[in-house]
Amino acid sequence: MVPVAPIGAVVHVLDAFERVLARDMLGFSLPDSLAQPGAPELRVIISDGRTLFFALHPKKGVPKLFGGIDLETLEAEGAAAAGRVSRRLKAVKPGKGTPEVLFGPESGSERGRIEISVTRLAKDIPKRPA
Amino acid sequence: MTKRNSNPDKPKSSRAELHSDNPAVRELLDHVAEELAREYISLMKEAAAKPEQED
Repeated sequence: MVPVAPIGAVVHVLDAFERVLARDMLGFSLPDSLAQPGAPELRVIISDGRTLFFALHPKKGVPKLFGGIDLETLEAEGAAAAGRVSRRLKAVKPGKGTPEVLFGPESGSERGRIEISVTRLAKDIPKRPA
Repeated sequence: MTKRNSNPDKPKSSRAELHSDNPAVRELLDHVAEELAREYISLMKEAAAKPEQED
């Protein structure tokens, strides 16, 4: 079962993501635009049930991981933790508490993850009439 | 100022609301969205510049 706390955060990020992209790319809207040809695949990763990451997988090349939001710490420490975390929210590299982009035998410190392809879900939603 | 979530025994299902109620957390999540969007745009531009052969 997916914990509720990350879902609230994911919905908030996707909403803001759509707003930013709609500002810069005319006509961008979720979910349809995620299914455009050439669009990178967007995935949400909840690592060890408490740390939230977003991953972008380009058609070619190396996927990138964003985030590392420890929802339990945020809940417990609030603004102080948010300030600390915001310093490392650019694309992150695996290691030192950051999981691999792809879960595998080399994912040393990570015990488990929930990984959801937002792009695949978007592709499965029937297209709305224009 | 009144505190809305005063019950410590409140069920965990209220946590999602708690995140969007906290301005610092909201700002943090907005920052992630900005970074993600910036990279998304850059990857879209890259893909448009180098169209691939679809499988």
